[in-house]
Amino acid sequence: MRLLRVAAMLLACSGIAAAGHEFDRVVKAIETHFGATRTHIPLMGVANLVLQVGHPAGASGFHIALFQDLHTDLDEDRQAELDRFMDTLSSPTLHPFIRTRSQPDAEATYLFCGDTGKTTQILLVTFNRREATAIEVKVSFETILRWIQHPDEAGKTLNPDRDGN
Amino acid sequence: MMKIAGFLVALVLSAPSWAQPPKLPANLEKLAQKAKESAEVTLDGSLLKLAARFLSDKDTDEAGAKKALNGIDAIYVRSFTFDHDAAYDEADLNELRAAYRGPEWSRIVGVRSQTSGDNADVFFKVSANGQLGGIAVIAAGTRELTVVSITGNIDPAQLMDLGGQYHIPKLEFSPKQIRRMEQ
Repeated sequence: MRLLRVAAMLLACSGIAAAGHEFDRVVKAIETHFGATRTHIPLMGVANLVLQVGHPAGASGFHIALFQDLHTDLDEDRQAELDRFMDTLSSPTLHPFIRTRSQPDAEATYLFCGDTGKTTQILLVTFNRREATAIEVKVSFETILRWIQHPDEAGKTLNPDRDGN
Repeated sequence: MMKIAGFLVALVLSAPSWAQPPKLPANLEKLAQKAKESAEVTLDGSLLKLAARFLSDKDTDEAGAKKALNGIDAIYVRSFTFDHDAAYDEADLNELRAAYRGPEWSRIVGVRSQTSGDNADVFFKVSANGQLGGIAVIAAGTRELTVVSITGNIDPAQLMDLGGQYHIPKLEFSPKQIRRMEQ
């Protein structure tokens, strides 16, 4: 019995590690591609606590990375280049499923989905003129279904810098 | 030999799935660049299975959609909004339609509105065993364009149950059209 419990714990931990690994991989790729480093976010621990308690949009297990002064003004050519770069970030455990763009706002949102289940690991990357945000979070499948119906809501729900909050 | 096979499998698995899916026209990317807003949804594999699991058996609409989802491999939706009329022209649309002109594809529905400028085309792909293996919908308005591609084994009678869900336009076929699809 104890052995089973240890095995279950190990499995759970390996899932968390795998999810965190994907987030780190994507953050590293953005840093390398744009020659930028993520911005330190003060009081990130407090934000995490709020998420643990409040669960906005059914969200939990939150990781966030902010990037500023990226050389990515999203004109048509750069948008296509950005798409190609984001294409390279998918993996067998990270499936792209929503992509939205708004030219007037120079915004692009990319949503990747990890292993699916009752809650699903989501990796959301938004680009807004010279800034980018990468968020990894666990959300309920109801939230995913809502995003599928309204893709433009996805970025707004989790990204505090954007409208809709 | 096993190593090479393993490597090839890994290569296929790691191929970026955003790369234009084979059932979507190649010039979509060009149209996406012209769009003011665009939304692209790709539902496949486990996500689609999970979506089916979350649809209720008790709700008539959801139960129908759930049944229809069972045979489907993937749903690709590309939806664009343009900020002025004629951002794309008939030649662009014809290029989209041309992607579904192969011998295995048939255009089942074609609707043109002279007044509103809206039009829609529905194409069916019949696989070698006579089963419906794919559906493509091109819905074009003056400032909007949506392309939906569904792959997998699809029952035409259940197709309508998916209309209105996952960005699939609500399709209403006459009994005559349904009989034609089933033949």
